Amino acid sequence: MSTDDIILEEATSGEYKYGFTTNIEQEIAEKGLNEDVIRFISAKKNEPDWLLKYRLDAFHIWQKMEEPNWAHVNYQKPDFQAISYYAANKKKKKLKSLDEADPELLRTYERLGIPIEEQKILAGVAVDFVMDSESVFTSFKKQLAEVGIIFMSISEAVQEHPELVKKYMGTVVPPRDNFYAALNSAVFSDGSFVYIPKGVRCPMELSTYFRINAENTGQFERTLIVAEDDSYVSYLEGCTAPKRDENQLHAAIVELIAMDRAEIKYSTVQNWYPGDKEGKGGIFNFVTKRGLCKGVSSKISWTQVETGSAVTWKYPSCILKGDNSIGEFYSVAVTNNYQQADTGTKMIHIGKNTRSRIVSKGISAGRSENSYRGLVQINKTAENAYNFSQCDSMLMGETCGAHTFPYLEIKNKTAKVEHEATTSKIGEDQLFYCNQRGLDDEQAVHLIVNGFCKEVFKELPMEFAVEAQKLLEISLEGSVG
Amino acid sequence: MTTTSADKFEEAFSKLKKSESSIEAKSFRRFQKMGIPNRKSEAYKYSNLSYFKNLKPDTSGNIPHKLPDYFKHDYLKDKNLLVTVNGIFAESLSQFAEDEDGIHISCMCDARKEFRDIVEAKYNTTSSDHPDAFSEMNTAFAHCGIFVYAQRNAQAKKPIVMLHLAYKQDAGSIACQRNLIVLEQNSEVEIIEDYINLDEEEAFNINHFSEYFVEKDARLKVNVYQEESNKVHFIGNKFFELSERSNLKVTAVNFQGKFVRNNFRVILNGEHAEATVNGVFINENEDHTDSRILIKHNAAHCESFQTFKGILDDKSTGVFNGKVYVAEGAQKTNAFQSNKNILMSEEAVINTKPELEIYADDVKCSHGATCGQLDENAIFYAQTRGIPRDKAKKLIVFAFAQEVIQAIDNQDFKNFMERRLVHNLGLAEYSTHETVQSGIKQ
Repeated sequence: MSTDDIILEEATSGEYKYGFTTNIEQEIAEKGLNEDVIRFISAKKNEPDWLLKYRLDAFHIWQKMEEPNWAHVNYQKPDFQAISYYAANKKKKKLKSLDEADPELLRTYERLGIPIEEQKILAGVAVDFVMDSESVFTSFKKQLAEVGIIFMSISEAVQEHPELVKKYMGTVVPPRDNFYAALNSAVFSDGSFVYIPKGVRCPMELSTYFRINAENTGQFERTLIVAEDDSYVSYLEGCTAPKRDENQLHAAIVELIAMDRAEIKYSTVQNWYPGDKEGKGGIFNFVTKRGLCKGVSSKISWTQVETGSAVTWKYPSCILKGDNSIGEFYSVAVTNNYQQADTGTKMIHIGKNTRSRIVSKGISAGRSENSYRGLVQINKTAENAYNFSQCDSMLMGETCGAHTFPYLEIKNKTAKVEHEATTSKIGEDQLFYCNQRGLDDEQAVHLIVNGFCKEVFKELPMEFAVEAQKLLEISLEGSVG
Repeated sequence: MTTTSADKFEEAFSKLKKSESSIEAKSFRRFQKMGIPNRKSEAYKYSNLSYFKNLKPDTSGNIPHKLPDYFKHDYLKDKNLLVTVNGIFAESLSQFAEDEDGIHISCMCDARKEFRDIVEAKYNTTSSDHPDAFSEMNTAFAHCGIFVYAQRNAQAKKPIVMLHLAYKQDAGSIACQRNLIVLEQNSEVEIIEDYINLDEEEAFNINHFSEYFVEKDARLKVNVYQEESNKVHFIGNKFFELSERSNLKVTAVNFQGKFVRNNFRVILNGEHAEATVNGVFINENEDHTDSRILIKHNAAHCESFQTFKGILDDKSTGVFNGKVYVAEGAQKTNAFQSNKNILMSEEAVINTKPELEIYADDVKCSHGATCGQLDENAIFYAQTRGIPRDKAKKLIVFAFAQEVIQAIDNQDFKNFMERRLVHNLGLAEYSTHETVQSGIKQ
């Protein structure tokens, strides 16, 4: 075994550090999916009739759809009748401060290494903590309300701002969009709702930590962010999940809408349980994320760091409808052991002078499969559209796979589209150079990998970038050495 | 497949009287099961095949009595000339130099008797792991095509030109041509394939399938030239298998054609093999060209190169789907792929999908794809030098396409391609340059 291989071996054997279960009483719906379950969810959440109808319509669409299998992943299809579609914390009362929160929850924060009070004060981050399906804690709400920003769980928004939710929900990702979008539209549990009024620049980074907790409960978040004319918002989403042996399904929908000159920045750090070294267990992450640049000169930027989940199937996309609008996608996807990731983006150019940029970095180790799948579509109306895509893959080990499947569809001659992809490994000479300067192999690999991903990390807000680097280290720990 | 079309094929197949255990029958059953692919099939995502649903297999067997004027072309002089008509090898029209030692050429039917072992060992062995409806259809209904066999150490002195003629096909039928080319150890062969329609007004449908085996240290060059009329629907499968240290170079030049689908599949099975697959196409009117390339690195230390260029005008559409596959253990692979396209009109569409699928870590693989229109700065520069705008544009396109044509090794064929390019771009009317002048004579 060469030094490289030993380094790899060690890094790839790093264990998931966040595997523990919080014991909180939960209310769980009967397993299985039918109209009654949907009515139950809707009734539990005290939803208006239009939303129940929306869910039922989506359910009927879903029943007629087939599970897609074009992605470059291989997994045991979930049994949709063996999943419970609703889990909410039983004790439900509004909290004014952290002291009132369940001490069990607070301990969870601590073990996750996220000192929430400190973060609140130091970083100025409002945290909407989602424990399974229900939002139990929302902070900084008042401060945000002062500038007219609405930041609450989507269940609350349905009660308090039904007109906004009704107007925008499903306009970017309609229920019939795909199999998992239809499923989510039928049974979505909770998520965040953000509304930034005209001309407002959100004074802080908005953040949500998701955590899958109840056993056998698929989680179906629904996030909707609307940025009115001339507004700006940066939203962070980060996840860790407890260790468990059964596969869990996660099918979220995120919809972003940017009006004239508005800008939305959406960052994700995903670190769900990837399964153990033998590929047993782990989360199925089938997510539909899409942003609509509706207004002129609007901008939507996706940044993601994907290190977790057994199977990931995720394409944060931008529909560039407004003239001069901009779409961006920055991604680092790390797979290890038996993880499989099929991720990328879609850039749909409709408006004139629209621009998009794709930077994707894939790192595969162990026996994992890591695919980039992207679509750049320049429609006839998109005069002077420009796209640049760069997809780099790094392989660590002889048994993993790295793939690139870019689709370029160009229907306008004024378009300028550039795509490039490379695949490589960490060179012996690079390692040697670092060794010479006193770094051991592991440090050297982290240095090189961090350099490889820097282009994406620099797009993340500072605290997040630090966390992302840490995650990357944990994910590849011992994989080299 | 509609019932009527399925019936037509079924009827035609029963007439062939093949036993159920034959290769043909097995392929036919697989074809029946698959049917004509639709757009849901990833391999044909951007090509509409509905036209093929109403065809039946061609059984005309028409052969023209004399060769058309086309055969007076310079580049055909001093070559071995093999002619097929609607997929059938026409020996009476072919000319083959007698002093080619160790190179055997015959029709497939004779080869089955004379070189039975070779044919049995190789025939229809390349298509098993990636089933394709058209290659199965071809195997079921294959006409008696060309067999080329180069013995160990044999070197063909002259290039082998294959002229594939389409001539008075049955109405609404598709002709299935099948060739087998085997190069034994350390042999060398150069092939030029040229597709010609003898009647521009008539509709022709062709399903072409060639298998090429390049054994240890052997060298094969294949130049494919297609200039089809707007009545032609062409499906071509060319599958190559390469052994240790063998070398393959394919160049595909394609000017026009109502529907042209070229599927190149190169399997590198031996270490240190090298494959180059280049192509350029110019589409006009409502032409459609679909190029699909799979380069599969099964062995370590192999290299592959792809350069594909597309020029699309009017309402034409183009598809490029190039894939580099590196199998587990195929370490030290070098694979490069480049795809560049120019859209000349508002209505033209290009869909490109350059793929990498990699299962080995010590490899260097890269691909690039671009799409754009002609560079205004370049046009302006030419204009400032007194070149009319229209001509400037054509010259830039000429240079763009030249990258592929320049890389052709055979000088005669390269000159011929240059002239055709000049002619097709309408550069002839501006003739000053030597190649441009010779373009007028066309």
